[in-house]
Amino acid sequence: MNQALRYSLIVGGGVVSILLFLLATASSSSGFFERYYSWLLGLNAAVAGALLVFVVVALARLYSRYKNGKFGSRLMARLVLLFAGIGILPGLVIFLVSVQFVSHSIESWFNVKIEAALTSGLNLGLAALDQSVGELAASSEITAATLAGQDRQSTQDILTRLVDERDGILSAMIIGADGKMIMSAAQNRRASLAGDLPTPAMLLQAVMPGGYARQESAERDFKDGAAPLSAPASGTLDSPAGLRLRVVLAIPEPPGSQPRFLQVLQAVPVNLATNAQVLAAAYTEYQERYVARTGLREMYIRTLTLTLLLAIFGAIASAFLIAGNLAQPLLVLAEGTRAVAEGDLSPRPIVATSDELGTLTQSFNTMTGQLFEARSSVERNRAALQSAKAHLESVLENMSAGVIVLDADFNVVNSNEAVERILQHDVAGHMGRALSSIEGLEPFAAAVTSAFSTQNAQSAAGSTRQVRHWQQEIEIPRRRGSEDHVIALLARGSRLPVRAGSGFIVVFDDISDVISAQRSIAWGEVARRLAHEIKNPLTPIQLSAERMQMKLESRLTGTDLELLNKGTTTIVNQVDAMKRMVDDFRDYAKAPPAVLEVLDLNGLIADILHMYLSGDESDIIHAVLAPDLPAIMGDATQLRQVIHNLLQNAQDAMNDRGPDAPPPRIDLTTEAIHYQGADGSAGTAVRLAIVDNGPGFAPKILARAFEPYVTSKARGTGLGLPMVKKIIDEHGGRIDISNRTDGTGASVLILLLKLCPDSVVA
Amino acid sequence: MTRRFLRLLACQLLLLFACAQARAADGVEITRAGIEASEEGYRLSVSYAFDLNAGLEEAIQHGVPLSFTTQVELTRPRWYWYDDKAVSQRQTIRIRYDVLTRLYQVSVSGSMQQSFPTLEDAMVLIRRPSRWLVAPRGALKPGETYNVTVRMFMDRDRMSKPIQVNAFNNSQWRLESKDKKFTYRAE
Repeated sequence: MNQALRYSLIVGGGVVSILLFLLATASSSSGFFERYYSWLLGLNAAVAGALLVFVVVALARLYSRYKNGKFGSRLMARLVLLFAGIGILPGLVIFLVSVQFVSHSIESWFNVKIEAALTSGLNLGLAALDQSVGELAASSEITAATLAGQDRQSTQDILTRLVDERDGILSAMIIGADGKMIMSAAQNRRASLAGDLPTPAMLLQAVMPGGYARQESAERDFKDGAAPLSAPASGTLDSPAGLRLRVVLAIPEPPGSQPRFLQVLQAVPVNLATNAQVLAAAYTEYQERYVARTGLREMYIRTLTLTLLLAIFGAIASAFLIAGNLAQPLLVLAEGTRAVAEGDLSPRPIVATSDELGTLTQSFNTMTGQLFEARSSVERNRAALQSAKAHLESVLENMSAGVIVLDADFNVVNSNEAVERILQHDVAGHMGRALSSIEGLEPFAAAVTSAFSTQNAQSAAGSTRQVRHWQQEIEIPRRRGSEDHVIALLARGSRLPVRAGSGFIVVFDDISDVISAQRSIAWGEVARRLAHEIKNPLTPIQLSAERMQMKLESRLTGTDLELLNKGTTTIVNQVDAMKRMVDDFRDYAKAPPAVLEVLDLNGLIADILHMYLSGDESDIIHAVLAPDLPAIMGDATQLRQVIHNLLQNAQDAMNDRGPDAPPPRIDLTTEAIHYQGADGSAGTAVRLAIVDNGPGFAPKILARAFEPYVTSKARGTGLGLPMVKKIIDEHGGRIDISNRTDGTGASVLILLLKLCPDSVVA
Repeated sequence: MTRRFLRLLACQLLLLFACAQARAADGVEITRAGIEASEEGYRLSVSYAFDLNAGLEEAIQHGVPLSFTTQVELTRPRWYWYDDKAVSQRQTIRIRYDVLTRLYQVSVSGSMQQSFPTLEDAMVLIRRPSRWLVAPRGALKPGETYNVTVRMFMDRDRMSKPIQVNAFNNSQWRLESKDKKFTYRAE
């Protein structure tokens, strides 16, 4: 219910009250209100109709809301019924009592006895008057009889005597046939008798037997007091007030003479006249009231009914308002409760009252505010926890070492990405399964299990040192590959603290590379010693063979000489070959340290390529050199060997190609690489790539290409790539060999990180 | 059921309409109305045709006085302003039965009262009242045309209070004519 409606209802209520008051006054007072009584009635009825419409609409709305089970409609309906009942019932009772009272009391004013008494009284008065009239008529008739045939003088005497002798006679006069007075006698001699002349109608009746005889009212002026336009026709002001009796008789004249009339006026005794008049007035008034009683009752009842209707409708309308007012804060609260239940903790509109309901909404808002605070702090904590967990997880995920968390029954609880990379088995997909049940990991599982068992045994044996974890090297077969190609793992296992739930954690790393490096060093040492030992006897052998040839050449002939020459040549050649091989070993094992100088890599490459290129279209080497390549720090001799080795390898690979292969091609590219250092600073590196379209590396070679004596060539020492690797390592660079992704050919990428400090860093 | 109810309702309405018609016929009809110029001034000559219904007649018999008021207005139309109200006059005739003298007394405001032994005789005076001076000579401009409105009604204001109450509710107690309008060219 909005504000405007409320105000309009209040104003309407005021208007209705005024209208009702006017209606009530209209019933009792006269004048203005009476004239507009019907208007007032109509206005009130209109207001009642408007209220009825409002009530009907409101009730229909409430009913439909109630039917639909809309929230708050039940409370509203109950309140409305309550308030309406409080308003309607007393009103109804008062109305019924009033109606009863009005109709009965009005009826009780009128009863047969009073009416009969009034009528009888009136009749009594009339009878008395009639009798007086009869007496006057009788005496007048006698007088008339004596008057008949009398001359003028004696007639006057008779009239005077009549007036003087009889009590109460006002006047007596003789009237001619034309209605004019002939002579008269009056008690008050100065009075004008013109106004008392009989009318023609009276004269007409006087001719009849019995004559004209009746009482009449002496007052003739208009009582209403309206100003007369013309002067009164006749002066009757001096005639005495009250009733009087008039008798007009035809005087029985002898035949032949003019007809004359006798009129006698007699005043009714004041006592009788007054009483009769009072009685007549009361009778008239009673009759008026009697006639009006129905209307009066009807009006009272109509006013009462209208008042009742207004009161009832007003009560219902007020009930709606009050119920709405009372229910609103409750509804706001209920709405708020529902919103809170749904998770909406925004503040509710406050009911601005100072009573308990206002306090209630305020405290409700305080409560939701506190809830909101609590929830947001929980939310903050959760977010912090989550981010911490995410941080930990990302740390775990990005760890290069594999981590597997196992529960007490060696079921996988968690693992990181490195596990799959190292073990080359999917472990994350087997969450919750026993480690030993994962295909391909049985040896790893067995090793881990036994390691923990051993640790248990050690603990049980009461080792003085608190054994927190174990460390062990485990070798597991590669997924695809021969027996001797295994993944060497360095695994550490520890128990999870009991508080966090019984379990184990295994951390392991692939140490195949470490082992490979160790193997290289060992090989180098062996080679160096072997070379030293082998080289010593080689020179005497060569010298001895040459000396044998020199000394014996002259003494031998024919086939012997031929044999000698052949033999010594073979010895010298083989020794040479052996020397070269031994030099190679020595070189590998004891390469001189690189002397780093400012070097233009592009210039070096161009210099080398002179030897490989003929300048025509048969060249298979295509060089793409970045023009603004920064200068590097490098050893020209050693880098020259690196490039030579790699180009030689590529060219050798071309020979192993199938017959229907595309034309051979080797791409040599240099470029500057920009990267971001670990400390966030920008860095530049130079990359050298040599890509061919030959058969590529065999998988077996690829894994151990940098180990000595691993070669795919029939006549190779297998020291080329290890040498390259060694030189690049000394230059602080990285070398990466791989097969091209499309499977055609190999690519070797060298990243040189040490640049000339003066070179332009782009 | 509904049809029957509707039919009943229609009958009631028809009956009501017929009653209203009949009651309209009960009203006062102004049979003749005219302004006559005389030496003293302008006189209204008017006559009515109406009958007292049973209720009113009974009320008169019981001594209840009734008043009939004639209202006459002479207006001169003015195009630039409200009409000029030249004359506005009222005349009230009262009829009353004197139970003591058994006479019907008819009094015209401003003139003497007359008594009649029968109601019919008394009513003649009401139906055909004497010519009545509504405006003195000079109140109207000769040659001008005036709109005359004559109306006659039973005057509630002059009734006694209880009867007034009755008159609100009882249509028998409402007796009035429609406005009779005619033009009069002043001489």
